[in-house]
Amino acid sequence: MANGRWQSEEEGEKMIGDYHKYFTKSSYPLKQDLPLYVREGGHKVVIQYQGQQEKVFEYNVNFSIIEDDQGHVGYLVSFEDVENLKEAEMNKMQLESLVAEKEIAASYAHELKNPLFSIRGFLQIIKQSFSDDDKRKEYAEIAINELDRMNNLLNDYLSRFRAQSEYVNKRQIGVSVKNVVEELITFFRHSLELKGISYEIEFVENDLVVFIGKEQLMQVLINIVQNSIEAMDKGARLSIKAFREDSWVCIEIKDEGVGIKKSDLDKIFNPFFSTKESGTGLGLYITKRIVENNGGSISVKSEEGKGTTTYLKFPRQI
Amino acid sequence: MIKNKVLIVDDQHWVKLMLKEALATSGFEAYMASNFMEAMEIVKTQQPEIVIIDVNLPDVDGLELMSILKRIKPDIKAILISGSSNAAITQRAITEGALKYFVKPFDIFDLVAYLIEISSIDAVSKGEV
Repeated sequence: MANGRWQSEEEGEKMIGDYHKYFTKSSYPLKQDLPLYVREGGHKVVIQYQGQQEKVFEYNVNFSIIEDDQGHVGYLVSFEDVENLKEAEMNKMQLESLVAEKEIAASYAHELKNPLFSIRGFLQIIKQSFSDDDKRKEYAEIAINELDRMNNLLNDYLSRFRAQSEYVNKRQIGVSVKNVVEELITFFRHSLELKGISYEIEFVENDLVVFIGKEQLMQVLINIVQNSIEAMDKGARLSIKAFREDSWVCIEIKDEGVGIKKSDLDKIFNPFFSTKESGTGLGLYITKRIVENNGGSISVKSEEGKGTTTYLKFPRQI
Repeated sequence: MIKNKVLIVDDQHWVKLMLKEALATSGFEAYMASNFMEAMEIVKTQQPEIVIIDVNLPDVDGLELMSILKRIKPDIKAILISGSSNAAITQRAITEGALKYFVKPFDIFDLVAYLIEISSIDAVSKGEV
């Protein structure tokens, strides 16, 4: 992305011309400690540019007006390479569906445990009702043994899956929550500023450490914060807090977004459940699995129109 | 004869029914709940001595439910059951006060034998099992 600046108002006016109406009426502070305000362009322009090669380059262009107390001081124009954007989006989706595929296979295998258990239990009850010399007692016994064989196959499959994730886990040393959250904010800074969302980070202790792969923790937090940002409007606030509670390290992510409908709340961790038009419905499902595979837990409290708070808990020691 | 009351909390219909049947034939009085609200209601009204909780419930984490029930009835004996043998969760369950953690599918008479062992009322005649 490239940024250009116009310091002269005249030059900027010429650039923007009749497009003034597309800019927001209200503005938000550019930085907390600078008396500068931003009014964003309410639209995106796609420009196409034929370079020396045959290729056509496509950019999203965003105009913003920078003001101080006296009025315009400049303009901010940002170019976003559409192709890069599309590619990054594709990569993310591919990676997500690959991870999801494995996770889904494992969760189907898990789901089989329940019917296996009820069948085994009923067979035990049936077996018990026959006398020792009844052939049917032997048949029930055979059926139970066959079920156990199925279960062993299932466990073999699951332990292969687990071995892969444990291999990742074993290499883990503690990861600093502070570092990861700071990296997270860097990751989202642009979209937070673009949407006019302020944020607040609070570390009750600076040296909080959790035992989970750094990339995994990052993925968990990205999935949650992404949802929060999408749920929030200009002026809303995102707060992230990390603290210690008994033998747990807790991370609390609170947004002032639209909230989750009460009837949806117990479905948000289900695979393929999404309220977003383009959502895969796998983000939170995978998030939950990652958290639980690392001995942690995740829960969500939400009120429609007020916001959502997500609580993450990780063991302090492993 | 006074029977020991056991509450089974599992959202899987046939699992719950099978456990109830197995416990009933072994002299226990079994109650069933599928979710948080039902479990709370039965603990308040029936005061069961033992509760068997599935870790994966639709509306509440099984471990969380255990600690809430323990607040309502501090002497309740909790046993957790689950389809997964995750070492971290087992460890957490025991630390937070579960007496035992059974991984599905397990031998239901192992569970019954354990329940008899921890029951306070000897009236559950050990000969019946």
